[in-house]
Amino acid sequence: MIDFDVTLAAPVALRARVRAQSGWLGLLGHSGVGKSTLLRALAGLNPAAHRLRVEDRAVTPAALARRVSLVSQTPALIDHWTVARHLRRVARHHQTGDLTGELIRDLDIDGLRPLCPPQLSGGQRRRVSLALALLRRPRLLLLDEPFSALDDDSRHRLYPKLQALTRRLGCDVVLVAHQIEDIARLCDQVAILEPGGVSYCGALLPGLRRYQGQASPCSVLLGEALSGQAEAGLLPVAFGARTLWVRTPRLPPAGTPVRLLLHADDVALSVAELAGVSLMNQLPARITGVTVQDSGVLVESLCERQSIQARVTVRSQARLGLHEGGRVVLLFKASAVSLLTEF
Amino acid sequence: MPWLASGDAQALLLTVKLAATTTVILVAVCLPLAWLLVRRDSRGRSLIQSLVMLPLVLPPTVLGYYLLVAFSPAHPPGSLLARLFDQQLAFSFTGILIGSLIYSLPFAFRPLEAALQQSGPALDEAGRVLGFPGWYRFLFIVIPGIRPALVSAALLCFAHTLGEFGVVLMIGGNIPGETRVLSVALFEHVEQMNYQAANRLALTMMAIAVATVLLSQWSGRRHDRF
Repeated sequence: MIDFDVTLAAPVALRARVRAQSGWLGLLGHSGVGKSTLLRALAGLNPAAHRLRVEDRAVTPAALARRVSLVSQTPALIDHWTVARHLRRVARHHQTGDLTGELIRDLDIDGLRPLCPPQLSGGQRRRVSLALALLRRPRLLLLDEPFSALDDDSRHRLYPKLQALTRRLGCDVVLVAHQIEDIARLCDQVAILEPGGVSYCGALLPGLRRYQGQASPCSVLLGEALSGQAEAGLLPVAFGARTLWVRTPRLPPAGTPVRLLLHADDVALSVAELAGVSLMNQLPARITGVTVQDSGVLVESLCERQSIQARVTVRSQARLGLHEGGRVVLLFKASAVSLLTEF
Repeated sequence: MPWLASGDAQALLLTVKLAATTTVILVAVCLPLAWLLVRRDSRGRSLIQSLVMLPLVLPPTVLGYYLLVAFSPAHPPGSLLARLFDQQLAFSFTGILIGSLIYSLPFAFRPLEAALQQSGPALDEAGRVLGFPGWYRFLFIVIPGIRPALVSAALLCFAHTLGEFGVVLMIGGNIPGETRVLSVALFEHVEQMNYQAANRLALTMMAIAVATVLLSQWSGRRHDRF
């Protein structure tokens, strides 16, 4: 269980109460709201945290530091130690020598062992920091933008390994990520941090919807991979009684439950299905909400019992006569859908 | 004929002993003191810093005079110190050692404090993130991380103590084997117009000073090339 209550006075004043299930928790919030500050306090690094409670018990920063590992945006390593010395000393101090080999292999840092931190690239530094953080066998792992310096290939290789490692070590994770896709991919639950405190803590999809309502809106859809792709790189996904087409270079085995991300700006609306168009996805839906925003009109609709958001112009809304309870067809290309699930 | 007369060789040994002891004690005291001041942003910090810097602006003879008065058994601090050290401090090796410690204090403290201020907090946090306790971080992460400054402080302190004159002369006088250090011996040779011996002593001190500077630079270069 992830359960903490942190009251901070500086550098930002906030009270963050979070109670979530064990596993991965995504922490969402706009820049400057205090996400990194909160993680530092949870890692016992913020002396201004004047109240720290974990699982309903008051704890000191020193006690937290023993149980919590942090991988920050600029990972702190000791410049005059080689990577090998980092690993050796951390393993000896925390008596976790049995883990070293596995972490070196999974995080692909074997070749980095003779190097010192100033000789590492940003991505290598992150991987070494992740290995060291896990080598402490923490109860809670805090990841602050851990993937920002990694290329797409490295990220996709790293995600399942990290999930497997944290599961095997039995440690919970709080993830702060700039890319909403990272959170949607790895977390089952999210907390939203707003100025002053946490405004939401719970399941991923409602959390993302609530957060996306404030930022660039998107929808996370659940489906099941089907076999028999029409062409290479095109994945059919069972979406209720319908089939969705997703362009992806990585095709999961048939039957794999998949999570998909669809940005509201990538969805067009029509009052009837279209013939003779190249669009792969046309989904009939019922409008459940129409919200006029500064940036356009956000249309929320229900299809196969899942909520999908589309953003159109005020002019389009008037032309199509979009209103709550009305029928509409959602149109989007296969390449507009991102496959979030790792396999 | 040896390069240095036996009395001068004895003065050289005594000077090296005084400088080495002063350096070891000062580095051992200044490291934790500077770390404490860097980490705790307390109100007493400026006061301690000013006190530590005082010997830098005080004329050595003035400092030596006050220490001589303080060491006098006629006054309470002197009698107390005499009981504590079980000997008279004025005109003794222990006396000139205490004088050297006070006089060279800023030369050890300043470079250490500056280096700890610059790199210490980041190194300490890196160690904290890795889960090491405070004593471990200080001994095995922070101190090795400021090694060039540490070597520089030690060498500066050593070299400065080697050339000390005013304080030593005031407190220690000129007792061979006990308080007669190189600078005092040199002064004595010049007074007696024994310029050959004076030249040799001066050259010896110059050689030690040059070697100290070279050693300091070499140590800095080795650290940069990791």
